[in-house]
Amino acid sequence: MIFAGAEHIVSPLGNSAEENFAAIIAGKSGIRKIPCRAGGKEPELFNVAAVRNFGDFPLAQELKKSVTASLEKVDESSLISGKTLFLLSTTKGEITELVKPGVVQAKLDVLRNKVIRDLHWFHSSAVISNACISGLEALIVGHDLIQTGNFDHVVVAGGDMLSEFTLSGFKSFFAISPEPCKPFDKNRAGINLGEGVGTIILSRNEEIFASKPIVFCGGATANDANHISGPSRTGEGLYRAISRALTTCSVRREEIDFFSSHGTGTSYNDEMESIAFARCGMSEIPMNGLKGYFGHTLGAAGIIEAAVCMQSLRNQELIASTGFEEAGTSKPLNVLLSHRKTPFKVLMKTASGFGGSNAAAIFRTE
Amino acid sequence: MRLGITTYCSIGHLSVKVNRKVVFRAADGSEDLLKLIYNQLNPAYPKFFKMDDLCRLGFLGVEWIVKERPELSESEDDAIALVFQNEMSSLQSDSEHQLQLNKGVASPATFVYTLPNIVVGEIAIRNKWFGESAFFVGPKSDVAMLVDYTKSLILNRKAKIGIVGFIESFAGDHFLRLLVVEETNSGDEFNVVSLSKFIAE
Repeated sequence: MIFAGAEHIVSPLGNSAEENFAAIIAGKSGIRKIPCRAGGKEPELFNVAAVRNFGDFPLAQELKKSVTASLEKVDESSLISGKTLFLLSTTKGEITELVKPGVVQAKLDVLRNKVIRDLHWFHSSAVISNACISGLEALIVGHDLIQTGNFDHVVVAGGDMLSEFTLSGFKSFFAISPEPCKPFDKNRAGINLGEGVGTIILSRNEEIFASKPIVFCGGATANDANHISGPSRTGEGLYRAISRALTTCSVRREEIDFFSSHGTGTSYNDEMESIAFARCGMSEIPMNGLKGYFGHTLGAAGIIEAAVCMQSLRNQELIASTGFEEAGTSKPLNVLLSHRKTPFKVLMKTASGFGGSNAAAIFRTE
Repeated sequence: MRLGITTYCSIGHLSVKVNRKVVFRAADGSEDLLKLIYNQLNPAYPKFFKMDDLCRLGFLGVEWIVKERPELSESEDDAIALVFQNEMSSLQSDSEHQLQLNKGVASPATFVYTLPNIVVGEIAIRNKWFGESAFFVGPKSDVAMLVDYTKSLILNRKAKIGIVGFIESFAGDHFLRLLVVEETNSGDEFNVVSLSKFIAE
């Protein structure tokens, strides 16, 4: 069995997984309207989930702090004496470095080296960059490399920052919502970008964690083989990722108590997800999308949202989807409208992204 | 389980090699190597011209592999895993998006290529492969993750065949080293040593 724990989140909602979870329970959202740069001559107002002001998120430092905070929740000496991998998940890293002379400072392994500079004891480290499934995929990769015996422990950190680079790009796609996003709602109008970092530690050894960990069953990825930016109209990749995740995790669909979707709030993405979930027979299972709390944090999303799911399992409280009022997908979904204290065991997390990528992973309590 | 290397493909230095034999060579001083390789293969795939160089390079590498191994396109939908790495991520297209942004004319046609894994999507679309994939970012000297993860995908029965290797296109330089790996007693064993050696060729 492989365990996940020591989760940590930095977002506009707080500086720990516990703070973030408490803020969500209290009904807060990290999204607010602030001046941002998005390619125009002057800053414009956008609804985003910024930790401070736009352009004021030192990604390397924040990642380092998050990794350090997670390590404080485990027996670090076990990680040092065992075989431990560091996996960084990001889409754009410190892309703001691109405007400086030369492009070398924007390289993703430069960011990785900054983050682990003082942590020489990692046996190995790598960067995974797979669009918006990066975070969830990094967790799955970490799980599988423990399972096959390559590593004993994997520290998985993910981060991305708000930047003119990504905001102007999504704006050119007309994918940005002028209002706080409304995943799966009839009147959804697109995404809000967000920023943040998260860390989760995976281990074959339950004993390293200061508090009881969650069981991480792993997962799977699949490609739509359809379009590089448009979600599949049949939900093919997500359907296959979920199906393969169930097989590889030896979990039956009937065992899933709750799932947390990708739910960006764009018309096509949410529609695609509803079709894939219907094909998997999951339309009745209570579910949420977390982008209404954090915005879309790109390469960090999979880690931050998985960490919230872990908190949800620990607290035995299902988190409502925020921004949803009226059903607006062709296939029905059981969107959770208010937080609910209830005993539950098995939770699935999914993600989808550009390049036709999809991922599904399963967490459970023992 | 022993994983063997059943096909090699390399692109660089104005040539394409399959199984270490030169199958295409451009004249010295040729420009736009990728277009010349496309013309040689002639796949009649207009989407190629919309792609950035990283995607064109990966697309062409896999086209050569499938030309050598036509049975790969008949394999089950989820049988093939695509596991790639490079050092520069999508920094070539990133720089182009930044230039357009500086001029106030950001374009979705450029922005969509500012992610390294788009090449995975292009190859999946072309070949109708729905399987596992991953894109790692790191230097040529550190390819352990490519080997470990590809092995784990096959060992854990998530894939039967891996198309795995290094795809880099930056500032007009193209470098591709791809392997087909699968469970077999023939061929060189797939490991960090054999992959690193092939990348250094």
